[in-house]
Amino acid sequence: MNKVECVLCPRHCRIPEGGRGNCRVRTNVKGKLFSLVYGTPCSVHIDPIEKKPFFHILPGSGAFSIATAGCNLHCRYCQNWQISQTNPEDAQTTPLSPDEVVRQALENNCRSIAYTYSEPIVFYEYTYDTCVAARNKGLLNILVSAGYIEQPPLIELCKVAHAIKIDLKGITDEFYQKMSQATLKPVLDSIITIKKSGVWLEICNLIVPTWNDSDQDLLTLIRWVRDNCGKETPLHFSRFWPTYQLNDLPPTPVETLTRAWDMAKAEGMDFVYIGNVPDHKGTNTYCPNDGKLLIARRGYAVTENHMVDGKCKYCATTIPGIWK
Amino acid sequence: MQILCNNDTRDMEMKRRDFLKICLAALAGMFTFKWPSLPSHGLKEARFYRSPDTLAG
Repeated sequence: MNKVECVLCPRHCRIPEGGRGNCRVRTNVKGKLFSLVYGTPCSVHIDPIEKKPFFHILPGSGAFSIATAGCNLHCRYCQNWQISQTNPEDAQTTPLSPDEVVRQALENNCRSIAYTYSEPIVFYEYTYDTCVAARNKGLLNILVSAGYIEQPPLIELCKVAHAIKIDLKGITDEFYQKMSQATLKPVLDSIITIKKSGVWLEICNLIVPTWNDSDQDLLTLIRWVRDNCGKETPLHFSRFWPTYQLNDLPPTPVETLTRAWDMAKAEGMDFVYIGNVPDHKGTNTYCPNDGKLLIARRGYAVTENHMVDGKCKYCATTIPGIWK
Repeated sequence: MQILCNNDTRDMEMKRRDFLKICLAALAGMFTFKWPSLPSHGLKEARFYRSPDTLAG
């Protein structure tokens, strides 16, 4: 049958000739595995870096953002399911080589390239080559990922990436199986590997009513992040909005997000954030030493910045992140 | 009570029929489904895979 086994992600798809992996974008051609989406993004935008969200990297800067079709997870609440759950030939694409991505990012005064929207792991070769080209031109590489990847390719990726935001979708295997048709452990392993590699890490948890909003789930997740990544790791709680296969649920109540924020602060986390609630105090950065407001945000816009050279301007405490 | 029982029976019957329809559709799909032909651009040999000679079975 001339099958090949893809070992990029924990699914280890065994793909017959002419077939494709679970992600839809990797195919077996005569016993060799090919990416179907190299240099053919279906989404190209310039976003504020806060949209990813990265709150500890170059606040207020633009991120040249790209994505291809496909994903190796199948989340019921996917906000970008039109591109993540489609075949590459069904998506509108633009030919854009890694060098051209870098050129356009520089031309548009972006400081970073974001690999985002769908899942940069499934367009691994494109992500990697673009990261190399971007590094050579002084741009930052920031990845937005679910972290469902095997260790060898992740270790390689960490050599060229500057920052990775991982969606830690839940803290139980049951949640991952039912919500995303995936498993928890590879994601936790990825987070630990990224942290150890020195690549800047931020973690995001989308709180979905009735699915992962219990005190026990929140507390377990917060403590895992604190104990394995450190209290200085930014932890974002995002508001769920009904979409795709979860249209029957209400948006996450703001009280639930505030409760998660309070719990994380009480557990000693230094930088806790609330996403998708524009006016919440949890969108701001506060100094963990003197508690003063350092970066004020409204939506994705930075409205105040009281940091000087990566330090609190009031007490000179160093704030971890990439600030220049 | 009698009405409830009848409804339950009817629901079960509908579920059974739906399940059979899904099974038949899946079976038909298994024999007729084909991925589209290869695109003219976007192809690049992937990293991180095992080739047939290292696979058993």
